[in-house]
Amino acid sequence: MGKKFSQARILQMLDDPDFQLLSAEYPDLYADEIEAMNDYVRSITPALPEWVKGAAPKSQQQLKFVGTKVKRIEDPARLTGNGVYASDVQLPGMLYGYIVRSPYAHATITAIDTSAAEALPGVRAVLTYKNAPQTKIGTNPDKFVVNQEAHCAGDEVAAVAAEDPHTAREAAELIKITWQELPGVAADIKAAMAAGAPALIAPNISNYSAGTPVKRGDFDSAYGSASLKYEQTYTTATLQHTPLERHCTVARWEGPDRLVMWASSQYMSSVRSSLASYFGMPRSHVRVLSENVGGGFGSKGGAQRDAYIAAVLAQMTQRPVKVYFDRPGNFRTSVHRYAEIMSLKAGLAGGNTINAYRLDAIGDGGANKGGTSSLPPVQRVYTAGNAFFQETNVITNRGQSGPMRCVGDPQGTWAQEIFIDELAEKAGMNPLDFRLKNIAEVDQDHENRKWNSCGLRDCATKVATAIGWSSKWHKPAGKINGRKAHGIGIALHACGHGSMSLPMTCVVRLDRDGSLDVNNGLTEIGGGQSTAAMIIAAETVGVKLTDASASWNDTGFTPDAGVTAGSRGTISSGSAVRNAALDLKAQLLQIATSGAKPMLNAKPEDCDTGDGYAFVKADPSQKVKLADVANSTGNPVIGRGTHVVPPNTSMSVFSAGATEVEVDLDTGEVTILSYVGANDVGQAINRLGVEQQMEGGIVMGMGMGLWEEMKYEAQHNFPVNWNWENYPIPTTLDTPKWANFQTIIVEPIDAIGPYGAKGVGEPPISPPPPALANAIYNAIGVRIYDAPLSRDKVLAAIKKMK
Amino acid sequence: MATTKQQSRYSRRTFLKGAGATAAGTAAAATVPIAGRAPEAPVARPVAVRVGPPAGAANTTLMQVTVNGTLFEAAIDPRWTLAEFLRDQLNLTGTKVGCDRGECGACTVLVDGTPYLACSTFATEVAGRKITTVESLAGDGKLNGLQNAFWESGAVQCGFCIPGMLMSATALLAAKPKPTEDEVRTALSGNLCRCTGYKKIVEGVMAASGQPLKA
Repeated sequence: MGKKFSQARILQMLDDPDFQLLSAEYPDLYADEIEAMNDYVRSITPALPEWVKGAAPKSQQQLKFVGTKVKRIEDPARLTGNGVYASDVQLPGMLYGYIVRSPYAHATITAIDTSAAEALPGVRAVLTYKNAPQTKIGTNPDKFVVNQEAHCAGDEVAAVAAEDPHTAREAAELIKITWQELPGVAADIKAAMAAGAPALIAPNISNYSAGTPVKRGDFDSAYGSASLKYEQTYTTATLQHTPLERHCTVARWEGPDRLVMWASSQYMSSVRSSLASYFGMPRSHVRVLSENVGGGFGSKGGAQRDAYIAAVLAQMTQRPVKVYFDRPGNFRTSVHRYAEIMSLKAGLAGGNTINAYRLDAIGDGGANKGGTSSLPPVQRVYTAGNAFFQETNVITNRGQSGPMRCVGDPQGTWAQEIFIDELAEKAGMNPLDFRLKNIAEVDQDHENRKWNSCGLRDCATKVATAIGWSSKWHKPAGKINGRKAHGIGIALHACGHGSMSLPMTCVVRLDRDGSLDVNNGLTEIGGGQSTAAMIIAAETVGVKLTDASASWNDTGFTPDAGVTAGSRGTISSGSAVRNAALDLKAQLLQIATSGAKPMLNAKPEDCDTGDGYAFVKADPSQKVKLADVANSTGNPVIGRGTHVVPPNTSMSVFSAGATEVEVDLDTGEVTILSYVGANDVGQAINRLGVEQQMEGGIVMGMGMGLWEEMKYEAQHNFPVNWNWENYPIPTTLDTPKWANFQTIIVEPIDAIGPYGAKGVGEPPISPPPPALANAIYNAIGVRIYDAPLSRDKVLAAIKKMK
Repeated sequence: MATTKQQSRYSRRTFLKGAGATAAGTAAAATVPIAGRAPEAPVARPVAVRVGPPAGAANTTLMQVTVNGTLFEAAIDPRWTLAEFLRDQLNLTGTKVGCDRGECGACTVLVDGTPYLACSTFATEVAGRKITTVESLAGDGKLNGLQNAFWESGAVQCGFCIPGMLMSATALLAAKPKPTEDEVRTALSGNLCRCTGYKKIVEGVMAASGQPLKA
């Protein structure tokens, strides 16, 4: 806490898209860096004139578009099949790439023979570690585009480019590789920490490292004197994002130092800078297009291996090349949600108040030296004056860990919310009442500073009311009808996503015809980010929504607006949109009120805009079309804006969920009868978009809670389920009926986001898994501590019923 | 391939204008140099359009197939799946490939009105039959009722599953114009979506059937 950085280091962080990505996804691990960047940008960003800010609507009632339901501008192309995803791109002369992957979790190639592959008609290039460019690609540990040593099953070791996909695949199968298997760890992640464990990624890198603990008061003495003590260990599984579109890049060289790429990416500006750096070219010589992206959920953050391999094969062949991972490749080698082993310990004072609280967590960093974290919800949701929280990162050969929707926070919330349910029972209280008694509404790790806004209590009480908690909650195993047991459960959540985020820029342009365009550098990946940007800009500049639009797909004309991850788009890039729109509005009012024959005879601060006009506030009949204002300059008018965060700000987002289940006591099958989710979003920008994020996040959370788990066999540490058949994600038959699936939007207007908005993409995923666990306990009276709550575990628990 | 006025009828530029939507993405579309899309000839005038490698090339089979009302004569590489034929040969890339093994339903198209998984169907299996893909749904510059209901309900997020969802729902509504919610869920159970949680998709199908769901 409180680390200081040199200006050179701050500038370096601001310029590094990989760092932007990391800090967006792990805001708690990089809180000091984020604050330093925000402080610096605030110090150099010219302030907008106060009168422009003052002209902004102050209450929700005054808002025209913000907070309404707006049909998304992204959708028509996707509904007609006309939208082009990277995997749809067809170019003249395009070749198809196919990747050869390691069959072992940890192994090295002792011999490789590509002659048969090269001899196959239609093959244009074969890439192995022998002919790969000797440039590292910025992974950790350092790797090349393809490698001799594999650190997880599925690691990329060779690639082929051929005239058609079948020939590429056939050629890949003709490459003869002799492997030497090396010791690995995947099935049991604790084995990597055992004395004498083999070095898993490099001899000089330890398999594990403990993070800096977060401490408050004196845990040991508070725990020692507690009136009631309890401890328990909880685990979560390794998960896969499984976006419907696999990783895909099409690369085309348009000259020796001009590269164009169509990328299925969450951060096109990062793909641009990574590839520019890889080939030693200026960033402006790489153009990346990501018009439609078939889902990401954290797995497509920066330039992934598909981007590098496509660009290298295209350079080798001087032909455009498409690399589209196959589904097993996607399951094995893109990043994974890391498994966690979390031990919680609490001491109650006075019988029902948490006084001492401790978390010791082990996070599986996988085959990269990445960070893991599960702490934020445990730090934030409940009051604990004496606390100790620590995370230890472990390296294994399970495949790379990385961000997946809400990163480590669902893991922390899984442990905490089952633990709190248990504490409530030990304290003899209703689980809802115990939560409301111990809820924290201040930032305990920053001198109990008030959160900028906090809707946690509202979220909790609203889901409880909506689901009918007071009439439906019963004693564990207290409502069994024949062989069907009814249960109800609740869970709360807080995290650092969708709140404090990084400074980013935006350009908003009023054309001479009075139409408004947002050049949105934020990559649209399905969340309706461009519609949200359009709404913010139209509201701020004062044009009709039908005259506004957003353009979002091309680094050729959009500035870097950061990664679409960490639920940061609406608050961070959205703030930049709003500031750019305010800058544009200020310019328009200056133009309208100046010159030899001003269009409006007033000072700019006495004017406002709305419905496509600038007008004098005291006499709205004195008005001029914004189109005429722009046209009078002979040019479009361009506004620029940067997201600036005030100093010493404590921000967090909050959510809650409650669910009813029915457990079949013969089969162990769990049916979700109903679910109610609530999210503190500050202020909804597009109400439709907020509902979409909540519904999608909640159902992904149901998958994490009930079914999803990557499984590893013990001998070769090989993942055994790498398709949807064996890794089931929720279907239409697994989710509650329409009328029994409800979302509640809680809006405690936040002072920092555009119109008070906070992020919403991630937090809805966290409450469902523990809410389901608590509901199953309420149904059968036996606890399950390890996610997912698969049928075998539920059946085993049913056998223990009294 | 023929390129005609019919083709421009389905371009996104004219579509968006016709639908009265904002001009979003039109500039974007112009920057993506993909090859032109397959023509949409009137059903009443069966035109044979030759696609694929030259007839008589090694390892090809000639077949005739009707796609979205146009009769094609195609030289087929027997390894091609129906999805590859539609996407790579006809440039009908609205049909998506998510898993390539019949698990996700993103590639769902109609063969003589029945939903088929195009990734797991050989192109040669559909000789002489009528294929309907997502590209055929919108007409006269307008979304059809089902597409419009999806748009209104917010059924689309990343959109990659949507063509398959639309085709499964089209087959359902043709067989049963007023399905129950359970019947909609069953009909769409083979179409995976990772974004939406399905609520708004079910809502869209019910609204398209004239039975809007109400809270």
